[in-house]
Amino acid sequence: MHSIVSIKQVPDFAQIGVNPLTNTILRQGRRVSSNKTPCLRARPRAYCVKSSPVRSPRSPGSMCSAAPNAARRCCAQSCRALPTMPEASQICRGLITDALRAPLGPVVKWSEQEASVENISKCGVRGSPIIVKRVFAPSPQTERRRMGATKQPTELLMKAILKGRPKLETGLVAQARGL
Amino acid sequence: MSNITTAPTPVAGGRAGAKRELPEHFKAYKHIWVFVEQERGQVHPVSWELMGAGRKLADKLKVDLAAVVIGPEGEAARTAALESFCYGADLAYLVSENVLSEYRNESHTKALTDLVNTYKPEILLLGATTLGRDLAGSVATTLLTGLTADCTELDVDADGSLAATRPTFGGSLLCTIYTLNYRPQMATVRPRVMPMPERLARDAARIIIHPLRLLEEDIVTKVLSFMPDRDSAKSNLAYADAVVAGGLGLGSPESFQLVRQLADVLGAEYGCSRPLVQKGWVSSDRQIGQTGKTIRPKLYIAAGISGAIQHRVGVEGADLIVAINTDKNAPIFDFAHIGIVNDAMHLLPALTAAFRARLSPHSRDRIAS
Repeated sequence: MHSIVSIKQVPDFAQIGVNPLTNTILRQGRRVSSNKTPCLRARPRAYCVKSSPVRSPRSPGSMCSAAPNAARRCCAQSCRALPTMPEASQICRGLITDALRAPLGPVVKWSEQEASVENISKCGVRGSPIIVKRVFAPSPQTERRRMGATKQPTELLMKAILKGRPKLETGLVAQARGL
Repeated sequence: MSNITTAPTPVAGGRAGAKRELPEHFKAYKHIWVFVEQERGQVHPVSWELMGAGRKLADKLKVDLAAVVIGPEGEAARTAALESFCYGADLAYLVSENVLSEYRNESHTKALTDLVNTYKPEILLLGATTLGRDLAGSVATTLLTGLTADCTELDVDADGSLAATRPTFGGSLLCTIYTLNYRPQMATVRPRVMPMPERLARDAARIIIHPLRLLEEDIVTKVLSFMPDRDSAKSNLAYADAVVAGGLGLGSPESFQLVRQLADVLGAEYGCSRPLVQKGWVSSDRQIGQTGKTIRPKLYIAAGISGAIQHRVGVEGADLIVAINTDKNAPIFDFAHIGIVNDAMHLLPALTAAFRARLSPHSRDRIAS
């Protein structure tokens, strides 16, 4: 029985690079097959994908979807995907001896043949059925009011919250009575 | 893997500018489907939220909106199908067999892929819940189509393609994703991202019952027992009408009581930003934001929360966002409707007292206004 943990690479916050041809975030590293599915040669019984990388829990949705995808591709019948949410498990840090041992550990690199890749054009971003058409920044709130530091802000704030919102006040009264 | 067919050759280079060249065999794919998620007879509300979003897309494309209900034999699945008409479905597909009584990836994937291959929908929407994410990923893989996870906005383009917008890179950027040359176009949406449509009593429309040729012996996974999560019923954050939340600006776990007190007076739920969960001050089921709950209350009061983008994506659906923060440059003021530069530690108790007086049944102010 084998267990595999997939680690998603996320660039550092200070270094966002977007590929102008594909509109996808630039990540450096080994090539993966379509839909972020690692090329799997072994036939694992369990395929565990933590939904976020250790230091950068940023895109839980896509990784949660990638887990069953990977399980489906590597062994449709005997494998169960175990996607986990970021809050479901604690980060385990290894011992210092593990950290020292790590650089000496073998890193196995597979060729296309070894990874059973039949058509390299179906791997990576080029092989994905989805296309990122547009990347843009979220827009700021259009209607907003800011109150500066005032001496008696409480009444002002409460009135600002309730002003012109009779339904909100009625709702709050009903909720408060319900307790 | 025998049921995976050969994929069309992908477009090389310059993908962002790729045009729609739909292969001939995909041109028969029409109509919009929403997967109605139900477990133990309960429909997840995200399904009705999606039905509302699907209705708008169907009206734009002038196609039908269909509900897909997969569950055990009995009344519950049929009731869910009938209920879908009240939220805007034109027809419902029902796969109702006892091998589907508990969610299992294999059986549900088989049921949904069979339906898609038989009736050929153009767009398939699922809730981004634990179940929906698991199912969507394997269905998309089996059908060799694309899947856009955790969308925040769905629209159709001039050429009729689904334009699915989702946060990328932790929400600091948004991207719009297309599945140009594969069908169906699949997307998942998290609960509370789309507004709940109004339920209108409607007569039952067409229900298409689809048989699933699958025996219990053919399914590898078995459900041994069901253990309800004792904590899951504790907070109703995602569906609360009013939410008060605190962040690191509160300074200490004791100060978080101020948030709870204001929430008590308002009859609101309380929540927090991620750092408080990481520090162990508040339990994780109270976390609001990208890796916590998405909320859509009528009133959201954020005290001592800076408003990092991960928090923002979880609260943007609130009708009224009130931010209290000492830092006038805090990013929360970029998206709050009412912002007040003040110390939450001092303001919260005063605000609690003021609301207690105002919301009491004997409040003069309220009666006068």
